[in-house]
Amino acid sequence: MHRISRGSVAVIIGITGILCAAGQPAVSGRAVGEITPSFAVLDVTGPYKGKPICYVCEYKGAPSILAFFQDIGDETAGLVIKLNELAQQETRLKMVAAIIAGPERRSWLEEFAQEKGIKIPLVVFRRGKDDVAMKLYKLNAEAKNTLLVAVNRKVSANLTNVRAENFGEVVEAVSKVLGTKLR
Amino acid sequence: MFGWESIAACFMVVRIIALTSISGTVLGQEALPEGQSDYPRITCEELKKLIDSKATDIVIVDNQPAESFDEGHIPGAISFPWVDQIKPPVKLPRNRMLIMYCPCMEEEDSIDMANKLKQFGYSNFKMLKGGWFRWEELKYPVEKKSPDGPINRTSQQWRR
Repeated sequence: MHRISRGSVAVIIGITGILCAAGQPAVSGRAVGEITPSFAVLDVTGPYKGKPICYVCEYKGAPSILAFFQDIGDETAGLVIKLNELAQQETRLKMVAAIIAGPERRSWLEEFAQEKGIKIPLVVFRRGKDDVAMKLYKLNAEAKNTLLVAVNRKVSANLTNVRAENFGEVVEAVSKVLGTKLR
Repeated sequence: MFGWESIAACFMVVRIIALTSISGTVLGQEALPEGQSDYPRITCEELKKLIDSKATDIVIVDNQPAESFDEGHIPGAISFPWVDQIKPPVKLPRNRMLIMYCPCMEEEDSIDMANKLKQFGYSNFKMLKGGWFRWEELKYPVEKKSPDGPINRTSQQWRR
């Protein structure tokens, strides 16, 4: 019989662990059915520009999307444009896009919103990754984005690491909440 | 006698009522009722004076999530976070005015909690105008969780 050394076993376990982790989708954000607690952000392009604001409180029980992005960039920009298009289709739908990275992203967001005609409020976490909202919303620092669809102050869909190619899942989740087929 | 047209018309009316009811629930028009919103307001300046004068006929109620409360709240406030449904027993005092505040522009969460507390017999409320944001803006004193443990944490329970 062949004898397997302890070192070989450790290597096999390590490789298996890495492969399993790679196959797992990132878990981030409050789960379906959980409430959406109040959280304050710094408004960058919305109606309360320059002020702290809680959009969750303002939206009350309205159907909404709370979109959290780790940082700015082309991928975030593309998704925000898609979210903005979605918001224009249905006035009942409320939306806010929050950049976790923090207040130093303000100027980029202002320019981006102006250039692309973004109407949904773009906001930043006041204390970046140390903001209490990270804990409140169970956000994973490894996830590129976390999109929560909510109604009646409860999460009805949690979509993590959304890309342009699977944005249809967001549209589908929102359509379900609204009872209207969106494009 | 009723014809088939009458029966079909009745069926349609019932169906429309049922559909309206379902869509109302889905879109949150029933689950979160508007309720009363015209509660009396108190300004941060007025509340500060009451705190400074050590008023004993008020209780300051913080409707932020507990984690936010730990990071900062109005001195002497007790934590009573917004929830979709209040579970009894509610041990807030009934013989004092409850001054409610939240991190909201128009006191939305505190108004909602006051409406829910009314079901448990509470009626003496005032909403802090501008809430936590205004208090912070005025740079008034803030109390934080001590490193040794929570302070004033009572989550749906009052003790002093």
